[in-house]
Amino acid sequence: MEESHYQRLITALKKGEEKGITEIYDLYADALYGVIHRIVTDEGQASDCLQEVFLKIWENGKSYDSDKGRLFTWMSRIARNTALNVLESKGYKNQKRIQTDEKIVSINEKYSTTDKSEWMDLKGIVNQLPEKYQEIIFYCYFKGYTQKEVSDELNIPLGTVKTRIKDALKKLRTIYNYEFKNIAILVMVYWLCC
Amino acid sequence: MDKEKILQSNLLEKYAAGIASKMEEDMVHQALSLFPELRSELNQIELSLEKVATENKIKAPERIKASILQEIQNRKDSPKVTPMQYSQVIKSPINWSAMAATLIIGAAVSGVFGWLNHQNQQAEILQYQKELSILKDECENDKMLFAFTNDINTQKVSLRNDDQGFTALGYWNQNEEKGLLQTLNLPSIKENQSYQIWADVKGEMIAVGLVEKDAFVANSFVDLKYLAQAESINITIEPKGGSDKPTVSNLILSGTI
Repeated sequence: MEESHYQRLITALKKGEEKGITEIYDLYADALYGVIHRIVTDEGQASDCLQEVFLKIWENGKSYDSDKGRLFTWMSRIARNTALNVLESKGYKNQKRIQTDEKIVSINEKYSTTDKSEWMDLKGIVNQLPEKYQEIIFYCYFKGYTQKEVSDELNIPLGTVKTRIKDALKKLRTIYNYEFKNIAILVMVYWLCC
Repeated sequence: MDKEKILQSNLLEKYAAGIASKMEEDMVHQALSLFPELRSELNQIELSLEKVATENKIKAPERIKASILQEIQNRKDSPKVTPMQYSQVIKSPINWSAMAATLIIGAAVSGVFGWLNHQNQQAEILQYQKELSILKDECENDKMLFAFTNDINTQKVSLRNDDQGFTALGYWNQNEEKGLLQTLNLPSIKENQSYQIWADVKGEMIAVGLVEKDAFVANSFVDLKYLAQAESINITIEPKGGSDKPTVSNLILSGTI
């Protein structure tokens, strides 16, 4: 997206214009739903959560400050926090209890629904990272785990988790920049040839 | 606030990934206003994560968009209050039904404000509880580290190079079969280099740890692979990714267990 278009989108959001939220939905809903659905696995609840997230985005749009980060970062933070709140809510836990049958067990949803190999399904540039980095991005970014929770889940020291988060994102940036440069070169070549 | 320390820590990464605590978020905001050049650093991290999210999107159900737009429309329409007509006031000096309606609306509005206030307070309490929990976890981790380094069975191994002033401290615990290295003062290395830690086992050097340049944080703890028969801990500077065998000429520190 061109910078001027991106800025216009932000202006429309800050003014609470319906066309702004419509375009933001078209551009980002699926990516935000990807974040939400990996935390709230129940489809109905995940859909409700997405709706709640967009209403929050619309209502709080005027308080978004682009000096503090990109629009998607701000929106994905809202999405992740809303999804984690749903997960912690009594209603969601009760529903999960009913689904778990007569044998009522206390559920810590974060842990109980995470298939150990779920992170292996990640696609795109993250897939080019070594497995240990894919895993850390999955748990922190998509599941909303704290560093301590990752440490417990993967049975690795907290210090290693901290280092691994930094390394993972550094390597991700390198791959992203490399791909971005390649695309820019291809566009330039195409433009010159035409 | 030190810019280099922020760059070396994983604060910007945690912020971009949305897992920073409220306190850490405030620190990032403060850092961004003090050092605007950090903005481009953060922007790069954000863009790469945005790409990851986009590449791993899940198709949202079709009905949601219409439902959101409808709800926005409802919320836009609902707060409108029709002003009372002046002529109505003239007709009846005491309009009981209007007064009753006003009282009901007033009570409802005050109830809604009270409820919103309560919700905000609850959200704040939840946020503080979450931060407290994170701090407790970190404190617990530090306590465990303190307990390990001060355990009577933990042997401290001093690694010194007095000529050049380099120091590190090893912790070796036979009972727990665990090794740690505290990087106190190591020489700086290039981007394509790393520190590699070796244990001497019966004359053979076996790699027990590796710290890449970009992951190195001064005075931090590095987990080491525990080897029961290790006689010494040694640190060499090796090419990025480490070597199969130590480069003896690049030996910077050594300490006997």
